[in-house]
Amino acid sequence: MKKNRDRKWVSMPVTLIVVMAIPLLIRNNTYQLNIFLMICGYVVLANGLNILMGYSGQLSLGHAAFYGIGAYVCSVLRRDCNVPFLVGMIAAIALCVLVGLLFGLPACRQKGIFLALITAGFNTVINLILINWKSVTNGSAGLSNIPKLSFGGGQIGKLTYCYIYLGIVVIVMLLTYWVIRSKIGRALIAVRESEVAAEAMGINVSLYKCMAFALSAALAGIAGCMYSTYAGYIDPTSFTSNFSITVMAMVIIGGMGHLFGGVIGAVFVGVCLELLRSFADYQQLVYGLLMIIVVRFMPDGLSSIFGLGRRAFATLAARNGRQEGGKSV
Amino acid sequence: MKLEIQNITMQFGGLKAVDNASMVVDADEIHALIGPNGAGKTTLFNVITGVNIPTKGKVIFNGKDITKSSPHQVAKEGITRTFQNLQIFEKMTALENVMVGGHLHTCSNLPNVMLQTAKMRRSEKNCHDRAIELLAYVGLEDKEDTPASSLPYGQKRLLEIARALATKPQLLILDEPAAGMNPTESKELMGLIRKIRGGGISVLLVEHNMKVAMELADIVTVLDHGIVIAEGLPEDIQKNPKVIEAYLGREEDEEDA
Repeated sequence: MKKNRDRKWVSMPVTLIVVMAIPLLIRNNTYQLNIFLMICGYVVLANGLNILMGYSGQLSLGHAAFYGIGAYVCSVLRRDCNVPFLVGMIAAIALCVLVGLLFGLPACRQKGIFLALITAGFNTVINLILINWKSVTNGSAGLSNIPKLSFGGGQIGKLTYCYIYLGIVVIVMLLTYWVIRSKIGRALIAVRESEVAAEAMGINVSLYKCMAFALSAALAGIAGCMYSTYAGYIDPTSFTSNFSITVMAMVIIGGMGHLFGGVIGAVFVGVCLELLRSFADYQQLVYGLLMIIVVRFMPDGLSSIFGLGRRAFATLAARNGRQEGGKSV
Repeated sequence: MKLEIQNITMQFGGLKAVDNASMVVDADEIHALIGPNGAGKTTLFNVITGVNIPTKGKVIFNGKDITKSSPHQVAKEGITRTFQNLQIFEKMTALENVMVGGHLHTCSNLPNVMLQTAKMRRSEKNCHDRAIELLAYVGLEDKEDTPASSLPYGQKRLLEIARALATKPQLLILDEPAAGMNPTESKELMGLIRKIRGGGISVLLVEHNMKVAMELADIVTVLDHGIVIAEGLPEDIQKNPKVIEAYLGREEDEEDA
């Protein structure tokens, strides 16, 4: 237990330093920097869905809707009302939480595949609103000229972007970690594992289900702001239920209910989709095959590889310990 | 602590699972509820714990009407339960399972967690320490980091009891705690239940194992076809002709058949 914690304090900063080095290594390649930014957004998005799907055990096929709401609220406010990025983001979070709660209240009474269907329907509704509310969203033509981040009058470079986004990711992950290992996290897992037992322990199951919805909607909102701000252009096709399925795939591939499941899945899927561009027409085919292989051979997702490593390490350590113990006798 | 069940009737469509049942559980008592299969014992449990709202009648706990409270509210009042068909949080460790039981006594709400307040850290620490104590209390020391799913059956039952105790109940309801246990295990379980009562927690248990029920209980209530047919001391219940009839059938019945 103690050893575990010690290792965490070593491995986390090392990982962070490695990740921080990436933008520096690719600083001359705008295309790669863009992908880095895109993946940062995916990480936040998939991490949010992991809280809902992996921890509280509720299927959602409508996460792209919250992503879209976040992107549009932030863009419209920043483009047309000239508000700062942070204010836009807070507004986006607020609206996503509100919609998440409104939507979560009735949805919490449904489970499994029914909930998935309802959320997919919700996604379609939001998408139609984005397409048809032309006065605000500019319809299917989308919103262009979304202002980039600027500091002291001048626009900031792509590299600074990367570090700002990385900062957001780190904050989000830290908050997620705190929430998951607190009583809230335990309650969410309890709800997933057995609703009757969770209720008997005094957990208000509906409340916690709603909370999971709101938290994951908030994170999707943040991801939406991140996406729209670096892309500079958004249109409703980015927020269809098709994309919701991709986000779901990220979580499943990464490992549902693992702290880093969303992160690993987002990076893997994000990188894969880009690398597979060279397959052109066959991109989706290869991508689909990859999904099947991962789900078939690693049902617990890529995170389970780390689990395996840790277990092997633990067995090894235990064996060494026993040997040492044997010598001392 | 006083639980009063007043004239409870629970009807599912045409079926009266519980019919005008009344009973009282007093402080510091081990009260056994027995009856043949389908007598309505589990339904009565579900009514007490808020899973089902009875068609008629009232459940009064410490003078408060909790008939229409939902299960988590009932838990808050101080009644908690274990399950006949184990409801362990399989993917958590034993320790985490018990920590979930400490839910009501941990103050880490969302703002507290996001700001990592000292108060929240302290209460999480308390929850953790208490969970370790409780695991030792039920005899699962050194199992803290074991995934609940890999515990043997009997230990899962103990884990459920530890988890229930973590809610700091005044009344603990055990639904067939000895089911699937071997004689040694059920003997240890009986010791544990007496220890719990000794700690000032009343116990209401449904038990199929007559030996366990009769040895443990201070008072026994017998339910048959949803009706309370007898209540009293274990030795009196064992001699009660109505009870014997309910369990073994009447001689004439067999002749008719």
